[in-house]
Amino acid sequence: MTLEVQHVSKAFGPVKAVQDVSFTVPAGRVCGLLGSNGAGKTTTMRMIMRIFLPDQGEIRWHGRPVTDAVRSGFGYLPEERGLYPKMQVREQLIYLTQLKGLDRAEAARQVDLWIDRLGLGEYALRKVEQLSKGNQQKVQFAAAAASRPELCILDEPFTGLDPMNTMVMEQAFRTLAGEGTTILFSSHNMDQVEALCDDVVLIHRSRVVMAGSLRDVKRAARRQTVRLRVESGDYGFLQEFPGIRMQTAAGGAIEIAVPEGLDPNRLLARALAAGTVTEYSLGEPSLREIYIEKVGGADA
Amino acid sequence: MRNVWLITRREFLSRIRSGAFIASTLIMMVALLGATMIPFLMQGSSAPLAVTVLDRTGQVLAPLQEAVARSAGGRPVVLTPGEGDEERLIAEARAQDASVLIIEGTYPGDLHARFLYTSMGDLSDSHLVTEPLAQLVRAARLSERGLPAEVAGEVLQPLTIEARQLTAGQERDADQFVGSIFLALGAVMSVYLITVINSQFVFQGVLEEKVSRVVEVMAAAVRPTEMMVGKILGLGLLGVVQYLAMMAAWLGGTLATAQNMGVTAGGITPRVALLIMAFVVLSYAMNSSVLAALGATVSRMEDSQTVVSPVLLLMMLPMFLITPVMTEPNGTLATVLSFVPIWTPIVMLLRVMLAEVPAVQVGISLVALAATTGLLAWGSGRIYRAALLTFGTRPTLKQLWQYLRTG
Repeated sequence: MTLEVQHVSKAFGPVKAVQDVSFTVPAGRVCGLLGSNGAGKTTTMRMIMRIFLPDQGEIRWHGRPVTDAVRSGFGYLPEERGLYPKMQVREQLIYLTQLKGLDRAEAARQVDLWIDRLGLGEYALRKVEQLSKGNQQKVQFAAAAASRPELCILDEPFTGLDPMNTMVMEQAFRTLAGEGTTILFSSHNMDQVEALCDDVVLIHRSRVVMAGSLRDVKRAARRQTVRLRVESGDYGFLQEFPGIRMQTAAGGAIEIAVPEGLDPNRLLARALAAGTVTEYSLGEPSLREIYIEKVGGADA
Repeated sequence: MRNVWLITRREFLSRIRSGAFIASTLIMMVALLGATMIPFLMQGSSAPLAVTVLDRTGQVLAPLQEAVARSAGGRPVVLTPGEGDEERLIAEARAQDASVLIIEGTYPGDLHARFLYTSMGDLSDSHLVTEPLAQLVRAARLSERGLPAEVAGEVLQPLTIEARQLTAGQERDADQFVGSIFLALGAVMSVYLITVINSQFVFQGVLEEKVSRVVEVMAAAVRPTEMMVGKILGLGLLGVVQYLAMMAAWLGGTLATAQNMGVTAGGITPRVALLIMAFVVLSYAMNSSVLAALGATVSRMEDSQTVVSPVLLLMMLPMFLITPVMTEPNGTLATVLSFVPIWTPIVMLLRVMLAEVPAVQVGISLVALAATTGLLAWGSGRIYRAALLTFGTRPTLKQLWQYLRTG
């Protein structure tokens, strides 16, 4: 069972939203769809959900073209959140789940399960409009997950959540993935994508510029990254190394993309000479670095 | 079909329980009940017409009381003798909401009478006193000139002129015609309410789904056509409930009014009943699909009135033309308007209920309405599909044409 997006293009008038996009998501895998704002991620997801039909190309699931019947096995969380504001949470979730083909009893069972998993029990009988935005987003996630979908399309599911709700949602996300659901989701949070995904697809200016498993993508970068922190916080000495690229990381550290031909030990030696080194590690480049390298730092 | 049923059910149940729906239905029932009672309310009071008679001739009151008693019809009349100062009598009458009849001069040759009233109802019923008085005076004058009283009575016998409406197969008396007007107005009002007012719920429903952005979740689960049809059916069922409630109010009001006014309420023939059903179904399908499509083109509440007002005005137009259509149901204006599909349900129904309309005309108008409904529903479906997920664009005619082509 694989999601296959094959040479798909979509234009809105003169605007080419997606051009010749191709990638696959193997069954049971979690794939991160990356790209800057306006790159074409949402349009691609909407085409998978048949909200828009592609102008060209084809989208297949199980080797068959995605039809309305096939789509009923997909769950969807749109970028623009939307629920009936005056409807009760539980009743609304049952309704949306029934629209995906489950009978009422099974829909109610699944809905209650996800309400419990997402900690929404006390809000189940409230109207959606009475919930905070974070809780509304969890309801939206439950709507996508409760129909026991084979494939779940989640467009920026973690945006706007506080740390506690993010944690709850990530746990629910892992549960969904753990149950064998294939997931395609978009996010601007590279650390989160790196933590949750098996595969990534990067779309830039409506075209796919990188696709594959996370491991392969990192290997393909063919370089190393040094994470470094000096007590003084002065990294001026790095100017002695031409062609070096660096970016700030959490906790006052920096991440340095080590150019080919430069021995990382030379960097460490120079840093020690400059002062006290409180952190040094050598590893593969982060997804964030790879992303910035690919899209030129435009929207990171 | 399953999804259409689920959507229909949700639309129906979520609204029928809402306070706004219950309140609006009750208000419309009261309005309709009030409308059917207007002729009765305008007829005047059912309390006795109390008249204080100041008979300065001393010869009129007794025969007048007898004459009034003989000609009793409709509202009861109580004549009370009044004496003394005119000003005082008038003040007393005003305090008691009674009327005053002052009779002066020489009876019967040079008599002068004044009827002083306190309400319009008393004025409209004053004939119950003034006509017997006039008859009495005329008879006395004839008698004075030597004509025997019984002969004078025969000469002055009121002439009853019977008014009957001519229809192709039968004659209907004037009372029945008044009943037909009640019936026609009630039928037209209810058709209007269900097809125009209820269609606006569809517009609001689509707009709410866009504004709350739930439309994308729905579009990812069901086909746009299913969404549109489910919504139209759900709100249509709601309209049927509302319709039945209003029919009950209208029927109750009409029967009560007809009974109180002593007229016969007209009945609905099976042919007219079928016609009403056909008009309601076709007109609701046409109006609601057009308004659903327009709702899909709008994404902000503030743009909604700009879009929907001209269309609603167009739909409402025949309601402003009810009087000329009723005056001449087979006149040029009424005939032409009844063939314009958007106005057919109101105008043709009014014509059919008030006059003889050739069956071929009714048939042609029905076919034209059905064809237009089909065409508009098809076009609206295309616009709805294309516009449903567009946000931020203000709908223009050019934009609508583009949606129609791409939908």
